[in-house]
Amino acid sequence: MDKSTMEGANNLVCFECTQLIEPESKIVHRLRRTYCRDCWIHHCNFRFRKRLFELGRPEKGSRIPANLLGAKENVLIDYDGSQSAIALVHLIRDAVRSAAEAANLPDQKNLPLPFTFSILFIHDDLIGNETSLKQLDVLRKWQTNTFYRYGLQFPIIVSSLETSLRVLEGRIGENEFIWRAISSQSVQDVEGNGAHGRIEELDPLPYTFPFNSPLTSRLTLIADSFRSKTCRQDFLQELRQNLLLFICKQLSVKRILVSEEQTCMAIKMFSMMSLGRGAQLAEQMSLTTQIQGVKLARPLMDLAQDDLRDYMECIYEQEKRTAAATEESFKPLSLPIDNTKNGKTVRAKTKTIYQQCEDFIVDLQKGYPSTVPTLTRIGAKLRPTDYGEPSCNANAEGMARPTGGSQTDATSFSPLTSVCSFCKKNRNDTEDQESHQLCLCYGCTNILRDMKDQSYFRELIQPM
Amino acid sequence: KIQRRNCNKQAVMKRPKTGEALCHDCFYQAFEDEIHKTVISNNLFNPGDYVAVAASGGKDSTVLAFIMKLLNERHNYGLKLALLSVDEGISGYRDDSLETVKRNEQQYEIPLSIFSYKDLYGWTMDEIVREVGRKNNCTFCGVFRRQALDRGAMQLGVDKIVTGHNADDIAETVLMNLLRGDVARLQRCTAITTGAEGALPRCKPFKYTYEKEIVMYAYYKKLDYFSTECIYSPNAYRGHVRTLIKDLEKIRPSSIIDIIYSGESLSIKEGVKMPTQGVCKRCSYISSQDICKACVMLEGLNKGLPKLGIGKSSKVKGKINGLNIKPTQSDGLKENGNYCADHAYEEVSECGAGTASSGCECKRNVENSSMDKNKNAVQNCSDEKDLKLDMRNEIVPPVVPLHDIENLATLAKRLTVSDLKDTVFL
Repeated sequence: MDKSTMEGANNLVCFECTQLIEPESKIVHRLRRTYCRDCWIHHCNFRFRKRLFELGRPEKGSRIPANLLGAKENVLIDYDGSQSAIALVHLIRDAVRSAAEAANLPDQKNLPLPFTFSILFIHDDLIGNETSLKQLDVLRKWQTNTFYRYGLQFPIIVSSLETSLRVLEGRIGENEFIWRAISSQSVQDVEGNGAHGRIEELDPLPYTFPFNSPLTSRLTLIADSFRSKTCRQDFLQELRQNLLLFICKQLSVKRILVSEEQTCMAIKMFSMMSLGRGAQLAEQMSLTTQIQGVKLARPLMDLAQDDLRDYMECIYEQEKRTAAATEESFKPLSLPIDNTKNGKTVRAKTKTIYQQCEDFIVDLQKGYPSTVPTLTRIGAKLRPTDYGEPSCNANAEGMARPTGGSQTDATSFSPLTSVCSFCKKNRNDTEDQESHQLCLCYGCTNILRDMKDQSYFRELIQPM
Repeated sequence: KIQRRNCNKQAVMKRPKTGEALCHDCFYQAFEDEIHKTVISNNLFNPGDYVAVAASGGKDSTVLAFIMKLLNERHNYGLKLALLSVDEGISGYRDDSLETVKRNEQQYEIPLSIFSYKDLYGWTMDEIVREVGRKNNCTFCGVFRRQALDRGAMQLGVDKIVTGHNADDIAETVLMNLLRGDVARLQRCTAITTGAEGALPRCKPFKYTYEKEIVMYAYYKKLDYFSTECIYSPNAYRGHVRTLIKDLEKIRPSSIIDIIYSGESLSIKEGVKMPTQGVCKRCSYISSQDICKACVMLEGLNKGLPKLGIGKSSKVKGKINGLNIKPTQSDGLKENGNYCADHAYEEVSECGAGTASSGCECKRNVENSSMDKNKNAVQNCSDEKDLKLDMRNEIVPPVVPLHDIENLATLAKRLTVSDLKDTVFL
């Protein structure tokens, strides 16, 4: 029987292995393909690893032959406790496991995994926020279980969001490290290129971060000075990204994997459009975004929110089955996820722009299943602009960075562009004086204007 | 007592766009000055231009007509204005709103011209909705109205058309084009003037003006406008996006302008396939395809294939080719009444009580028992006396039931009187 015939019969035949599936255990993809649980795990792993290897491929035009990958590169995983971040660490763990197993097999033709991984966790240390610390605690337990079960080492690099304020102000000393690394072994250097920090065991909850004492109040003060939740959220996200880039520089890491999946990218597109960040959109919709010499990669961009939720459910069940088969007591190795139908947590009454866009996209996706793929497809057609070093239009000659491909474009049609002094992303020249003087993009100017006391923000950025 | 910074009068409202508390006069001044600034900074008009104001009787076009006249006199734009309306033929909606436009003509002393779908295409929207249903009817209306405006403007001999598209509309359009993946439209939808390279540019002086402010202006100025929504609009896809825009505006009023700004900042990668502008081979209207959308839709309606114009033309190219839509020397929008054998076959295959193979029912109560394409399919209709086949040319006249010759209800929109006279009976 061919696949199409069997599919048409009663939709209970797996698209991959063509075996019959029990109705309650089938996974239905948005293309209306049905998968069994094991094949769904395989499908997700395949889509993920395809992107991962794409990242490891040498650049076009480089002299390294395409099939020869360089030495293993140390890569950070940006872990923020979200469902997609949980799925990301599991996918990476499976990829590393498979590569390790395959390496031991004779006549192995598959290329080795070109990366080693460390997990970066940034503690969101606003006063009253305990969720972040609990997430770190759960992650540490996962790290320990993974080491003892599979012998795989995933060091966790921990930092604090408050530190990003000092990063922006340039108050980090040359030999001062704003992160600590945790390994499942008691003391060990972090793998990678030129990492200098020593790994220490952290005390159990509540954690103290020796590089950030006392546990913050300044960040809370600034965050509370915003009038709207939207600008507050936007500000904290940009702070976090700044910190991420700085830590990558300190660790000499060139690549960081972020957990943005397809649905998240579609929501991000809408929220960036609503925040006036359309000029920066193109870079955020591609597989990689290069900012200040660091590449932010999105290996989950082929998978949607529902796909990853189903994947984690399958992983959990697989572990249960394995435990039952070996008659061991069941101790899940997988991180717990939110089991609500759409993965959403309870929403506050007052929404932010991001939350509103998220509700819109998720609801529209139910009625029009091609919504998310269409948005990511059009995102891929947008033209990105090169980021440069932070600079200001005060010196127009040095600052004009053409967005077009030709001189004609540059001189005739392209607006002057430079880089925002806060978010480090592209900013088109505008008539707005304040934006011009402070070298802020349109979105960051909105952040500034939303603050009750703008001096907090002005102190952070460095006007030219 | 809240005071505006420049006058000491009591504020009576809060500007939706900026949140400023203003009195009436300051609001009018701010509103009018912003539009004037938009006109001047974008060089929308030249002195001596003959400008048609697209008027539907709704709030946007009523305020637009009022503002255009006001600013034209106040700032000496030197424009000659005309009102241009399109009657889509929507009972209980358009007929009422056109009365409003006629009053506007008197009130603002601007001459009015009305062009109807019935005259231009032979169909009203009510008839189209009966054929198409309530799901895709807005597609027909939008395409037909755009052409109707251009054709009406050409007949008047104007230099430009101004439309009342406001900031909310533009923001909705940007998001809709993202949702539809339409890169071509995404690139041009935020332009304040479109069609500048063609004969008839269109301008949007309200591009940065909030819909709420237009409503407030019309309300406080006591302008005469028609405020009911189109009866066919609730099912439009745009409604989803409109709801989102309203929700975003509640969270942050500047989000509408932010979306427009974001849309203006987008650009498309080189190498992405974009449609090239040409002209329709049938009606010579601008089109990126050989046959423009309006002609395809019209042909579909006339041939009993209402879904022909829905969706991408590339997907139904085969059917369009099969319809053998030929260029006509006269106004190509009128139905010519000739069908090729394939079409006759198709007509007939939709006719009849239904055969095992066709499974269709006749629309004209003509029985058909054969699907043989090579034969004169029409000959198999039971009512043979009504029909004649020109075997040499393989062209068959449309089916005209003998007993129904005087009943033009189904045929009037498809045939001219001369066509009826030419019908030959066996």
